[in-house]
Amino acid sequence: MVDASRVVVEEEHVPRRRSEAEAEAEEEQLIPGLPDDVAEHCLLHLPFPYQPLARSVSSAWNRTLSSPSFLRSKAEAAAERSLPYLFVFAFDRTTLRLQWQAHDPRMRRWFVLPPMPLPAGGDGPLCPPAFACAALPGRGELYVLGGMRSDTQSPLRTLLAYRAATNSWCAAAPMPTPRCFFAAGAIGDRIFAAGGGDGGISAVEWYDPEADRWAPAAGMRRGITRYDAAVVGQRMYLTEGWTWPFDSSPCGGVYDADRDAWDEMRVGMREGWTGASAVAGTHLYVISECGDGRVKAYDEGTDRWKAVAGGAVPAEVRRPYAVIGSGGGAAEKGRRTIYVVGSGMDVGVGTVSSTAGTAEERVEWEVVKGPPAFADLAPCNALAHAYLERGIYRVGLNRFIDRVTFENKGNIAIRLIQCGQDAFRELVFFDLNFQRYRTIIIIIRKGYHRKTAQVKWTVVRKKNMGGKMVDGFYVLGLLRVSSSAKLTVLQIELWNTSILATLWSTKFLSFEHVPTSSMMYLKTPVLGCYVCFGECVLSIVSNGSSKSANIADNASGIKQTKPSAVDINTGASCGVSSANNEPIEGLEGFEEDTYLKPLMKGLLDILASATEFARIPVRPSEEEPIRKSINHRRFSFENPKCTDPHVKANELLHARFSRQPQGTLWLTSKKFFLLIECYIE
Amino acid sequence: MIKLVSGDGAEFEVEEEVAFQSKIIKDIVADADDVIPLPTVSSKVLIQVIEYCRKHAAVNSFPLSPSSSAAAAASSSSSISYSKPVSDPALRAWDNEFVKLNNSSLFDIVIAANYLDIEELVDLVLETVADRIKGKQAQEIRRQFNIENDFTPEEEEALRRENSWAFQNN
Repeated sequence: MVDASRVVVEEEHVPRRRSEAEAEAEEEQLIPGLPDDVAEHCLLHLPFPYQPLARSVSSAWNRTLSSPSFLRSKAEAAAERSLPYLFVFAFDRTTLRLQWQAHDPRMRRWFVLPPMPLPAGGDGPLCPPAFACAALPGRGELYVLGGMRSDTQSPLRTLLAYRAATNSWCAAAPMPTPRCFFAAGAIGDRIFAAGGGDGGISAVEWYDPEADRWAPAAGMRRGITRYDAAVVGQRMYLTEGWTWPFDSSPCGGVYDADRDAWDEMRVGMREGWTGASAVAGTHLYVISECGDGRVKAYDEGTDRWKAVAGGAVPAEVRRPYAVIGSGGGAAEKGRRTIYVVGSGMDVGVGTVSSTAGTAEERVEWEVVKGPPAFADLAPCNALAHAYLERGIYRVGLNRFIDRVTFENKGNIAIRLIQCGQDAFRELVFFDLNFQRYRTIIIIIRKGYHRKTAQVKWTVVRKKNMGGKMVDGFYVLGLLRVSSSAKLTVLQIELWNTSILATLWSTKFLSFEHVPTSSMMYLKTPVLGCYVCFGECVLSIVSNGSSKSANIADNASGIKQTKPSAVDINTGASCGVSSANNEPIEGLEGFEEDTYLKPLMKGLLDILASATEFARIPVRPSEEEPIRKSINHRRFSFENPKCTDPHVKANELLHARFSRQPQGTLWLTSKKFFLLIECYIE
Repeated sequence: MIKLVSGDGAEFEVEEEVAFQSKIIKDIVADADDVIPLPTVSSKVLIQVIEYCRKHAAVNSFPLSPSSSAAAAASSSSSISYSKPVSDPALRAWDNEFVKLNNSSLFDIVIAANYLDIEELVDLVLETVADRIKGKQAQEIRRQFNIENDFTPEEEEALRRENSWAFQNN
C-alpha cells in the first residue's frame, strides 16, 4: 500500500511538506472509513455516465470528480477496456430541435445529452443533416463540425466538442473553411474534414484536439459533396454516392493518412456504395438504401461488394437510418456489430459472424425499441463511441507537468525511465539539469521491511553527479514506471540540500512524499544524458580531461543499475559538445562499443518516429542529399525513404549529434530533451 | 507453509500458493523466513482475505476447463492484467457471494488487500463499492456511505442541474 505512514525510505528523514491544496483536500474524507486514495480509485470504477451525477454528493466528491487529473485518468484508459456507447444525433421532425442521446447497448438505456450549444452564426434554423460528426473514443470526446443555416444556406465553421467525462459541451477552434454536407472522420487522434459545400472545396484540414488547432492536409484533386464516408484503419473513404450524377459513375476519394495523399476510389467500391456505411474493425459494410435494406460487405481483393446473408434490416426499424458499426476491439472479442438507428430511435442491432471455413458472412438482427418520448425524433448521425467503462490507467504525467511548469525555474530537463519487476517494484529515476550540471540516477525498490512490517521504498542505488547545491526548491525530475498496467511516477524535488521525492501511484492516485537523505555528490559535470531506450540510461560525464559514459541498465535484472563506465576514445572527430564549451566525443566514440551502437541507433529511430517530426517539410531537392548522407553515416539503413519526414528527422538528429559544432550544446540538448519529452508523452 | 500473524496476535498457517496471491508476502518470503507479522490486519479481516486467496489459488491451479485456463493465461500475459475479469463463472459467483458484506467490512478488506497488494481482491471490492454508488441519487449515496452534505441548497441545485441526465427509459 502506498501510504504516507508506511512509505519510508531508509536513511534520514526530512520533514514532509504538503502544498496547501493537498492539505485542504485531506480535511474531509471522500468516503468515511476509506483512505482517500482508495476512495478515489473506487470512483474511477464508476462507469460513464454516472460520474457527473455523483458530483452533487459532497464538495469533496465534486472536487475529485471534476479535477483535471481525475478526468484525464478516466479519459485515458486503455482502449481495449472500453465498451461502446451509441451516440445518436437526431432532430425533431416537427420542431427541427436538435438533440443528442447516448444509448448503452448493454443496459438498453438511453441518456439525453445536455443541449448542444448552437453554432456561432447559427441563430437561424439549422439543417440537421448538414453537420458532420466524429468521435475520439480514446479521449472520451465527440465532435460536431460545420453545418448549414437553412434560411441563408450558408455553411458554418463551428467545431463543438462533447466530453463524456464532464458531460458537457464546449466550443473548440473553428474550422478554417466553412463546410456543410461534408465528411469528418477520426484517424488516430486527429479529426479530418474533407469535401462539402457544392463540391467546390478541395482543401482538407485536420484538427489536433491536444493543441485545439487546425492544420492543412493534402487536398483532394477535386472537391466532393458527401454522400457517405467511412474511416477504416488509416484511410478515409469519401464518396459522392450512387444517386448523383445519374449519367456517370460516382466519384470517390480515398485519403491515406500514412502518406497524407488522396487516391481515386476504385470503381467497384464507389459504384456499389449504395447506402450508409458501417465499419467494424477492418470490415466495411453498407446498408443498402434501395430495396429493403440489405447488408453488403466490401471485399478489397476483388473490389466488389458481397451480399451478407441473414436478411435485411428488420422492417420495424423505419427510415431514415443512421448507421454505425463497432467491433474488432478486444472488448468485443472480435464480434462485429452493426447498429442501425431508425426513426423514433428504434435500434436494429445486427451481429455479423463469419461462417467457419468460408469468407461468407451472416448477420442476425435484433430490435431494441426506442422510448416513447423519442417517437418524433429522426436520426441524422450516429457514432459508436467507445467510452471507457472503468478503465485505468495511462494516467499521464500531466498533473506533474502542470506542477513542473509552475515550479521549475525554466532550466530543468526532466527525464524518465520505465522499468518494472513483477515481484519488486522498482523505479529508476533519472534526471539532469544542464544549467547546473547535475544528473541524478536513483533506483528505488518497493519492498517489505520485516522489523517494522512496513512496505517501503528503499533506495537501491542513487547517484548524483553535479555541481553545487542551491538552496531552494526545484523539481528535478519525474519518473514513470509502467509495470503490469500500473504506472508510478516519482517526482524528486530539491529542497534545501535535501532531496524530496514525491511518489505518485496511479493505483490509488495519490501523492506521497518519500523523504530521502541528502545525496552524494560527485564533482563531475554532466555533459549529456541520453536514452530512454528500453530500460537503459546513458549519461556522459566529464571528469576533468577524461570522459566516460555511464550506463544504467535495468533490463537484465533487479540490481543491474550499476553504472558501468565506458571509456571513450579521445580525439574522435565528432562530438556532443559540453555545456562548458568543452568538446567531448559523441557517437563516433560510442560506436566502438557493440553495446552502445544498437542503443544509439535505436534511440535515433525512436526519436525520429515521434509524431512531432511528421510536420517537417521535405522539399523535392532535398531527397538526394538526405540519401547520400544516410548512406555515408555509421548508422545507415537500407533503402531510406527520403520523402518521409521521419527519415529526414532521423538524419538531422544524427547529424546534430555527430557534427554539432562544439559550444552550443546545452541549448541543443535542451531541445533534444524536450523532443524526447514530447515523444514520451 | 507460511505463518501469518495478524495484528491481534493470531497465527494462521497457509499454503504458499495461497499466501502468494499477495505480492507483498511473495516478496518477503523470497528473502526471509516463514513467519510474517501483519500488524495492521486484524484476524477477522485476515480470515476473510485468506478465504478469498484460498479459493482463488485453488481455482487458478486447477482450472475447471481448458478455455478458462487459456483465458487466464492470455489475460495475465497482457499488460492489462490489472482488474482482469474473472473468467470462471463459478468463481465469479463465489466472488459475488464473498462481497455480500456491509460497507465497513468491505472497507476493512480493501484496506488489507491494498496493504497486501492483492490486486484482484482490491478491484473486486472497489468494483462492488462502485456498483453501490452507481445509479443512486446523491442523497442515497450520502446516507449509504455516511457522507456529510456540505453544499448549500443553491450549490447543490446548481450542480444537480448541470450534471443530470434525462433518464428516459428506466
